[in-house]
Amino acid sequence: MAQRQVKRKVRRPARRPAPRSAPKATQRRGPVHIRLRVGFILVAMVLSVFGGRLVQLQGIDPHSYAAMAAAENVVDVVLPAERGEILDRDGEALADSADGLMVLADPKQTKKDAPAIAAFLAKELGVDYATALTKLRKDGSRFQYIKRQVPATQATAAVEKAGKEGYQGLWTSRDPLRNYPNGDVAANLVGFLGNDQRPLAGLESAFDKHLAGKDGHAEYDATSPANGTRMPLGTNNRVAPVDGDDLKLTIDRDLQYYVQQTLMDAVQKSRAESGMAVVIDTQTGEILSLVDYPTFDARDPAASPKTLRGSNALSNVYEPGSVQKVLTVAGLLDQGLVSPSTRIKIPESYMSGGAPIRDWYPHGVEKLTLAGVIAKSSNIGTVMAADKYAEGQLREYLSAFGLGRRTGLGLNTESAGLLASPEAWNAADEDRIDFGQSVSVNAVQMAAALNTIANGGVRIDPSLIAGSATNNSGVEVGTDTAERTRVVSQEAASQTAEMMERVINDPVNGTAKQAAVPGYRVSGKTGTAQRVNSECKCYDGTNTVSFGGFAPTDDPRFTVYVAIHNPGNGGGGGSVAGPVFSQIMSFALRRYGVPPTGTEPSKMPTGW
Amino acid sequence: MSIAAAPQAPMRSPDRAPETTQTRLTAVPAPLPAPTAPRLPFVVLVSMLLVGGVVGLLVFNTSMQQSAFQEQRLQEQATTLAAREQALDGELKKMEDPHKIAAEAKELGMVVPQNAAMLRVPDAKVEGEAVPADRSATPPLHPKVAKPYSVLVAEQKAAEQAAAKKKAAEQAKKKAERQQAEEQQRTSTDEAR
Repeated sequence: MAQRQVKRKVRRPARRPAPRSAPKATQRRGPVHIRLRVGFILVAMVLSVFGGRLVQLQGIDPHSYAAMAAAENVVDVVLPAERGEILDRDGEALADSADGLMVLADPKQTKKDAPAIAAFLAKELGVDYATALTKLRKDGSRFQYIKRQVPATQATAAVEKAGKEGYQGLWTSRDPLRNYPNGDVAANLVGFLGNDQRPLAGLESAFDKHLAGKDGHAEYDATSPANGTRMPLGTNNRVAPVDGDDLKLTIDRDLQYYVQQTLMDAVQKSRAESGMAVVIDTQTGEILSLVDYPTFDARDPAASPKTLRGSNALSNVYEPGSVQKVLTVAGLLDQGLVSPSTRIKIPESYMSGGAPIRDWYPHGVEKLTLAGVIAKSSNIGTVMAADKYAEGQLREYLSAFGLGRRTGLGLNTESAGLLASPEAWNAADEDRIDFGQSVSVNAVQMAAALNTIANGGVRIDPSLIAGSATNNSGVEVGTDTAERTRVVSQEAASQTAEMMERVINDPVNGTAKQAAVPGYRVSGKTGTAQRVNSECKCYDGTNTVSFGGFAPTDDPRFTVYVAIHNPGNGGGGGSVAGPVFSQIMSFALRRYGVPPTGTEPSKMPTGW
Repeated sequence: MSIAAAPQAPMRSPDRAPETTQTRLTAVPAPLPAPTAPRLPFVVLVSMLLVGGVVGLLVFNTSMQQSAFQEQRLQEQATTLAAREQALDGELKKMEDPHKIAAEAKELGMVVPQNAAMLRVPDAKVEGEAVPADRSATPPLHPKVAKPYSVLVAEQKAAEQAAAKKKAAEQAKKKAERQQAEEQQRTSTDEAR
């Protein structure tokens, strides 16, 4: 009652003119207080509701709301960096990146037609139906990868076709794709990327950091992710991708192809197990081709066994055999211990370390000069000449020629070969090392050692990378960093070269007439070595035949080294590897327009 | 006014009334109206600003939206053109594949020369020996995936074995059929009897 009265009283004066209400002014105070209080409480209640809601949103569960907001309209895409290309010396691509596309879906739009769209995608893009279906139905998502690295034309065609058939919610975005346009040519060096675009072999793997670049990303509000239209003034964060660097090789693609085909032909015709060939530019140490056969197709690595998906010329070591005699003799000449005309009387067999050393052909006592020993590839003659070495000298020379250490091309798969340490070195082993047994090398090491003779006694580190590049192990390699070291004198080198010429042009004692290149002076050396079986650690009766040499003899431009493992036809270095050498050398000289030097070929006496 | 008057109220006693000379209450002249600007132009200005702002914002927003659409259209066009360029580039690269060039050259009957002579122009001298080209320096075209010889041999053997098996199976089947046919004939002749 009282309250009602108060209210009435409060109301009434308010309507009355001011002067008349004057006597009731004191009565009004109480009711105003209450009014204010009530108002304040109301406001406080509303505010505390707001505050509570604020705490709930910001404090207790902020992420689910942010995620909901993001799922509504914010699109976050990876902007893939383009991987650097791998180029040959003329800039022809050995591996390149094309603009593939990724196919994406907006489940909000695709949910209702999911089975039909999944079937459509399975047919058009070859994706798995069940996986696609779960992605297309994903709750609370507006962004799903359907397939990555699709060739651009195929992806756009598929999405357009989907649009025509009335399926909404599919779109494409940029996603680079790796191509190997030459298939198996240089695949042993280039390597390949696996299905998830991770590098699995070769330079792709060794120089991944150099090639890869850095992905960027973009985040923006879109009216609908599927049509990609951005909301103006919406969120728009973009980190641009950094493309990878190209890797330029010293390889000549066309020469590489020719060498590969020639080697393949020789391996198949001699019914051999495998073969390898190296071509080096004599004056720069650049590797123009490095071939393995059999090899694999970089476009389809899975079709070949795992052991073939790299370069066996680098990773497999073997005993070089008689080609090594060249290095032994070059050191002797450098020391002035012998000359090409030194006369050596060669017995039937030679005892060393309790076992006889024999030659590859039976003979009585033979009279050969040092040049004849090389031309005819006499083991006994080489051992007798090398007896003049002081202790440890041969090892020093071989080590200086680069044996027993990696050539540093930048590929991690290279193996260093085996050159006994000074402690483990003994006289009986040294006699066998003289002609290339009890020592193992990889093909590139041997080619670089021969190239030292060709280059007037100065060894150049072989290189596969033009300029320079840093591999994943942080080592900088390439032609810029290749070092030159003198191993033997100019005189010793040219004498060795002329002796090697007699291997090919001596009509009586020469062992490799098939290696000749008509019109040119050519130096070379054959090799036939027993192979060590890795299981029994013994010679298993199979051979490695090889031929290494250079041309023109008096001004060498190219060094070519060919090794063929286990020829089934029983051929030797001269008959199996010699013709391959000749073909490759002839092709290289012609391709680079090297004229014959026009000088008289060596007529060094080989016998006496 | 009223508050000021209140304390004076007791003084307005009747006995004092005659003493005060009262002037007549007159209406205080209304204060002169303050010189004001006409209202209408101001209201018009404000509403124009308001409407202009809203319309401007709308137009601006629309044009931004429009350009967003255009951006997207151009982006799509760029993607399509880039894809086309890539496809053409890919085709070109395929044509440059040495395997393909070798195959086409072979089809045209071309071979790799074994050796070539060089003509030195200044003194008109021929260097090297020219040899008629035959096929001896031309390597064969190769199978798609190179396989080691041992694998090739194993495959050939497997293929031969498979062929032999198939042949044997076919023969067995034929034999069985023949027997069946004979039996049928026998039974039919039996029935006929």
